[in-house]
Parts: sequence; C-alpha cells; structure tokens
Amino acid sequence: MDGLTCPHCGTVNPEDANFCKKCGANLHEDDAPAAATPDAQAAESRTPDAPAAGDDTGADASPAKPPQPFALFDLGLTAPTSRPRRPSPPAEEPAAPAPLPDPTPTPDLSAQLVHTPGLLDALNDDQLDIDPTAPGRAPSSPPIGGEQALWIRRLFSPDPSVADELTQPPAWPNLRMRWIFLVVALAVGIPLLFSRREPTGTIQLWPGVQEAHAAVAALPPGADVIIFWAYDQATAGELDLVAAPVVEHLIQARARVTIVSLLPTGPATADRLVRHAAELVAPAPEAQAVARDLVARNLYLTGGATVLPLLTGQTDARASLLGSASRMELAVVLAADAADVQAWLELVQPRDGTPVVAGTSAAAAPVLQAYWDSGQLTGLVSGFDGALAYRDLLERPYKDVERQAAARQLTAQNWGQLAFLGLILLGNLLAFLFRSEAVRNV
Amino acid sequence: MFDALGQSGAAGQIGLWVGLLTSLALASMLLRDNTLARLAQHILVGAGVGYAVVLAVRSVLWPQLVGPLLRAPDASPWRWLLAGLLAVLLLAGTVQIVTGGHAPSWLLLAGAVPVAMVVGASIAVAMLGAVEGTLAPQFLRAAASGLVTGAPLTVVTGVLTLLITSGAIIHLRVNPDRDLHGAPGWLRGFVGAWAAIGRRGLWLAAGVIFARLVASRISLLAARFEYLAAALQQTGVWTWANRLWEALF
Repeated sequence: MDGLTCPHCGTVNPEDANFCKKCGANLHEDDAPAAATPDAQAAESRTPDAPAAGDDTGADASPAKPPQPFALFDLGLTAPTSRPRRPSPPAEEPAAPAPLPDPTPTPDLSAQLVHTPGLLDALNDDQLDIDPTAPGRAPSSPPIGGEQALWIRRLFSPDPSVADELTQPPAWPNLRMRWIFLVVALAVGIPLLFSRREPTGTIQLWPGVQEAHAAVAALPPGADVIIFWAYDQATAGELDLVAAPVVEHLIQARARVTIVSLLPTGPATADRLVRHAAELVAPAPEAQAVARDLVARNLYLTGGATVLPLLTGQTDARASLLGSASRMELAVVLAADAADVQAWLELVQPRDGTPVVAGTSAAAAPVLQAYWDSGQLTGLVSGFDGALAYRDLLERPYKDVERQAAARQLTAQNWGQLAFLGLILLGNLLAFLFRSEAVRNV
Repeated sequence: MFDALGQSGAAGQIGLWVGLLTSLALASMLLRDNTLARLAQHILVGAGVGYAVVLAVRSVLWPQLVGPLLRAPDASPWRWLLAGLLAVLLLAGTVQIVTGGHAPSWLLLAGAVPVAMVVGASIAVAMLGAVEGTLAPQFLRAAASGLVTGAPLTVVTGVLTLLITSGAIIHLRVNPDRDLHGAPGWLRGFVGAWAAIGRRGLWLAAGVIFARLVASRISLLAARFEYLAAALQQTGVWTWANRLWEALF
C-alpha cells in the first residue's frame, strides 16, 4: 500500500505529506531517532530497487535481506516503509530456543531482561538501551501499531464493509484534492483578476428576503433593535455581503441598535461594517455621525450562549447588560452558523417574543428553512444571492462602485460554481467508466 | 471585506503586510503542507486567543469584577465568591501547564467545580431551549399543517414528510438483515424499502446542504481574492512586479 502510515491513528497518507490528514500527527516524528538505529542504517544501505523489509517475495528473499517483521499479520500488504522496525530472525531459519533465565541473580538488569523471552515485547528497545541483536535475544513479536492495528481492528469489526476496504483495491484512481482546489481557485480568480463580467445571471429571490425587508421597513423611527452579531473576520467575506444591506436599511429606518456578540472580535467586525454602511448612505464627513446615531451599544458578552437568556425579560441583569430594560421592536441575527440562529430562537425568542430576522451564510439556509416555515423567523436572508436580492429592494440607487462589486461577485460565484459542477460531472463520468471496466474484468 | 484595507498609518501598513503574508503562507498549503503554512496557522490562533484574553480582562474582568471589588470591597459579597472561583481556576490551570498535567488531585478537583457549574448550567439551558424553541414549535407546526388542514398540496407534503422522516430514522437505526433476522420476508422487504426511501431523502438533503455550502465557500474565496488583489496594490508589490515584468520582457 503506497503512502505513509500515521504512527498515531494508522491512516494512510500521501507520500509527500508531512502531517496526517486525519489526526494531524507529524508523520516524520520518529524519522530522526530511527535514523540512528541499525535498522535505519540497513535500510539506507539498500539500493532503491531493493525490496523493503516488508516485501516478502518468497523466492527472492535472500538470507542477507532483513527478515519479514510482520509475518504474523501479513495478509498481502507491504509493511509501511516510513517506520523502520526492529528485525527478527530470518523466517527460513528456525529461531534459536530461548535460554532460560539465569537462576543466579545478576546485577545487570538489562542483561537479565534480554534473556527473558517475550517479557519486553511490548516495550521499546531504545528506551531500555538494549541491543536487539545481542546473543541470546529471543525473537520478539512485532510491535503492534499503525497500519497493523488498523488491520486488526478492521478484521474484527462487525461491519463487513470495513474489511472490504482493505481487501479490494480501489476501482479508480484516488481523488487528488489539490487539483480540485486549483481548478476552483482558477475559476474564481481568473475572472476577478481579468475583470470578466459574465455571466452574471439573474438573482433568485428566495423566500424570506421580502419579508425581512418588510419587517425592517415597518419599524417606527427611533425603534429599539437588537443585533446578535455572530460572525467575525473568518467569515466576513460572505457575511459582510449579507449584513451590509440590512444595516443600511436600519440606518434608513432611523432605528437605535444594540449590538451584542459572543465572539471576541464580533464588536470590531460590527463597528467596521456599520462604518461602511454609513458611508454608503452619507458623505464621508457625516458618515461617522450616522454610525454613531445608529449604534447605541456594541457589546462583547462572555459566557457563551448561556448568557443569552439574560437578555430577556424586565430584569436587572438585562438592564445592566443592555443599559435599558425597554422592549426591542426587532431582533436581527447575523450568523455564519445555523446553530447561532437556533440558539437565539431557543434561548431568547420564546421568552420575549420579539420578531427575528436572520441574515446568514448560504450554508446555514437549508437548516433554518424549517424555522422560516414554522413562522419562528420573520425573515431570512442568506448567502450572496439573498444579500443582492435584499440590496435590490432598497430604495437607494446603486453607486458605480457597488454595481462593479456586485458584478464581480456574481461572475466569480458563477464561474466557481460552474467549475464545481464540471468537476462533479467529471468525477461521476470517471467513476462510471472505471466501474464498467472493473465489472468487465470480473 | 469592504474597507478592511482602509486603516491608515503605521499600524495599517503593518496589518496590511501581515495580512498579505499570512494569506499567502496559508494559501501555500495548496502546493503542499509546509512550515510557513503551519506558522501562519499558529500566528492566527495565537493572535486570536491573545486578543480574546485581553478583551476579557479589559471589558469584563476588570470593569465588572476586580474594579468594583477594589473600589468597594464590602458592597457585593458575591463578587468575592466569583473572584475566589476565578483564582482557583487560574491556579489549577497554571499548575497544570507548569507541571505538564501532573497537578495535585485536590487542586484538579477544586478546579473542576467551577467548570462543572458552567457546563451544567450550559447543558440545562440548552436542553430547555431546545424543547422550547425547536422541538415544541416544530412538532406543533407539523401537527397543525399536516393532515389536519385537508388542502391537497398540504396533505401530499405532510405524507411525504412523514414518509421520508420515518424512513430516515429506520435507515439510521434498523438493519433489516440483522435486526429482523428470522422475520417474514415480506416484512424485511417492507422495512428495507421504507429505509431506502429514507436513505434517498438523506442524500437529497445532503445534496441541498452541500450545494449551499459550495456557494458559501466560493463567496469566501472570492472575498479572499479581492483582499489579495487590493493588498498587492496597496503594498506596492503589484507595481514592483509590473516593473520587473517590463524590465525582463
């Protein structure tokens, strides 16, 4: 089996990997000490074409060749070459009978242990400073770890498909994630860098966008609105698109906004976005005042979602957190993750009954659709398409820079999605062709 | 995204370069796993944690706990309790780090009390919220709009919802060959067919979620490209590259 076997979890990784793709362990952590062992030196002295220690080819095996270390569990796989193992005596030579322990006590503990067959098998010889080739050293069982442990686990697994993974070679070549990343990156990057503006297509007006717009438009001037800011810079590339038109609409509605966030960088992200939205509706000198008029408080709350119930009811805790115990007219949840919207709907909304408008990542929309259908969400704006649809509903005409940015976004989005679609079709086609070939070969 | 590059002055320039170099280092992971990419990840995580600690001290611990205690020690006794729990947690954590996880058992136990209080309260709040905000409303809505209203489209939707939901549960929890071993063949076939409907429902849902996830991540990728293009221009790297290109070719 090609690749490097993780010494930690046993996952087989690509040859050029430095870290395990599953558990992240360093795949070369034991190379340096291993290089000093006799095994590693022997392995280095082999020619590149010489079989590795685990490649027991029967007739080709010579007495000088390091013996098969995995004879007990060898089911046809080659041993991982990245982890030099200590040798055991050649298979064709019967192992010398292990001498009995010396009945006379000896002060040399190492020597005594060496003469006790099987006692140290589970231990690492390097740690005890014992020479594995010392005379009288009994043949030891191989250390069970890495791929061997994975093999054993799968052999005893009640799920037959787990064992099938090992006994059946893959019918088609492995997927190279790097190429997929490269294709998608080129599909998105080239239109952006070379200013292509096609195809832009038509914005889909998803259910919930118009209702979200109507909820904000219905606010009386000076209405108190609370925004639960549940995204930060990590997802701002998408969520800023969603938040900008909603915040701009709140400015137009002359609402008074209290921003709360459970993320440390949430308030800073909110401050930056509010300034941007203010600059869209007011010339630069006045934008700062517009932003100041909009945001009454911008708070970071510690304690995670547990603190959210404190934002409800006419309590001192709420008054101390929000500076006022007055009821909010509308709650806006801006979240990258559906779980944050759910947390608000579960911990806050049932207690205070404030209508909730959610602005979320596209990935969160399918999960939140059920809350929109049940009426728990008053409005739902998700993803770049929801954001652009909401922007179209605003009365303010587009600025040139906005129009260009929207066209860039749509073009990059469409090319990226086309590339992904092409990759999926190609993958299906290849799978179909290789499967047909495999069936013919049976 | 919008005016992330709008900071002026030395801090803005430093942030610009750090952002540009960190982004490029992380992007190099596409070529292969390498030290620069790992370093960038460590910088991001470390900076994030450091920022959170400073923010927690500045905006929570000092103004809400330490400051009031120093100003009026007798005013609020419960603050002393909180300060004590905090001190125990800090001590337990510090000893754990210094001794490499070999803290005395009494200290670990003392440190576990505040953690248990936080975890217990979180679970209790989350469970009540899940019932109050998701389970009950969703169940009531399904019950109200399913077969009760009688509108043809609603009836079809309700039946399909019932069929797919129960099929998905059967698929996830029942293996006809194993769990119905010895049962009549027609029963195993019936359950298997029902589970197959549920399985296809799960695939359909996964497909919808995957499609929206792809759209979301492409939005993020496009924003990163926009950032890189703007950063390359503002740092002057783009101009230098153009000059180099003209000089060479």
